[in-house]
Amino acid sequence: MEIMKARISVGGVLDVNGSIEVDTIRVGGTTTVKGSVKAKDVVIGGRLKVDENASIEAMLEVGGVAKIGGELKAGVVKVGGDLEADVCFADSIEVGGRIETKRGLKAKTFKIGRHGEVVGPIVAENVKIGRGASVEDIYANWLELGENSSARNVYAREAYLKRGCRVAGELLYVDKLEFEENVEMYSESKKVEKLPEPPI
Amino acid sequence: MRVEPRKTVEIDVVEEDLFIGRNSTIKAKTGEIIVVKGDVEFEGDCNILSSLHAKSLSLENRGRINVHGDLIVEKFISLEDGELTVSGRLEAEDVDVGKIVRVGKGLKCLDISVGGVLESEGDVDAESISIGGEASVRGNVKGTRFSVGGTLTVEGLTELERLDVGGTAKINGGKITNISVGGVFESTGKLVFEKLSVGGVAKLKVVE
Repeated sequence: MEIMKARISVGGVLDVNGSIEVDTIRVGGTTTVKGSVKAKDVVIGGRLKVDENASIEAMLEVGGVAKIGGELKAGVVKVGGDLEADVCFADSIEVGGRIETKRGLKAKTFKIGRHGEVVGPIVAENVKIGRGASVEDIYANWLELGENSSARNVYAREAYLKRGCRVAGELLYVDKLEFEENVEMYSESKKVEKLPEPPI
Repeated sequence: MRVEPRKTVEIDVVEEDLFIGRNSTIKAKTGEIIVVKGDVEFEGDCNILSSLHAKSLSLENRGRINVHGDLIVEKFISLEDGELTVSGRLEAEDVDVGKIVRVGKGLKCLDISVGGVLESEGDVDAESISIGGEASVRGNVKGTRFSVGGTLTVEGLTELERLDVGGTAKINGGKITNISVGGVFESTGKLVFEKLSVGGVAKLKVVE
């Protein structure tokens, strides 16, 4: 890599034809990297597209859409719109819109916004699903499913299901299950000693 | 010594100051170099059909100075309302030209300030380069600070501590500590930097 410990600040568009290793990238508009990214902080106002892996030591913050062709590793991930990656590992993931991963996402804390959508398994210690959001499988220590949200399979030590939630598959819990009125579960919830192993 | 306006004069060595009237032509009497041990002052346009070595160069009024060879000046070149074209090398301590500087084979100085355009077919080596309008360099650039109000194009490698361009900068890689560009910045070659700040669009090519 040729750009080391560099700080990049661009008002509009940053286009990198190759891989970069930098300290910080701050771009007001769009960033395209035809390679991999290794950085401490990346803050993009609009859209981020990385063809290969992205390893962000501290914070990845994208106002719009982030598309990572390979693996995304980061301290904190905050995306206002949509996030796409092959797989995502982070301490904290917070996405306002849609997340799609091929292999899943793993974090200490995970939060999807109101009416958001998650495609791919969620593996996290604490999971909070926003009102009206739609997700697939969840593996969590602590889970809150927001009002009128829906999940496929739920595997949690503790789960709180708010009113109008739907669980289309199985719901297994270890310690505690609480739910409000009008919760729809298509199979009976089960208290188990041990949860199934998460996929990642 | 004084050269009258609209005259063609052959000179070898001048031990004192040289005043050259407007629209005159000077050339070396023998060999290819004119040596002036004092200061050279131009009244207006002048064609120099040889290389010129002098202590300093200045222009009284508006004018175009053409040097068909090298221009080597010990101290300063001051053409506040002028244009300077050198087909060979240009060397001086301090260069201050109001309009245009064109150099055929490279430029070496401590400070150069050009109000309009700098064109160099060869390398540029200067501590401080300040160009008001447009700068294009076909060779390498080496220095401390390069400031361009409008557009910069460098075809060779660029090695600087600081690059400031108001409009568009297109370089072919190198090593620049701090880069600040108001509009568009593009590096088509391997670039090492510490800070890049661009108002509009930045295009980087990274060679692994």
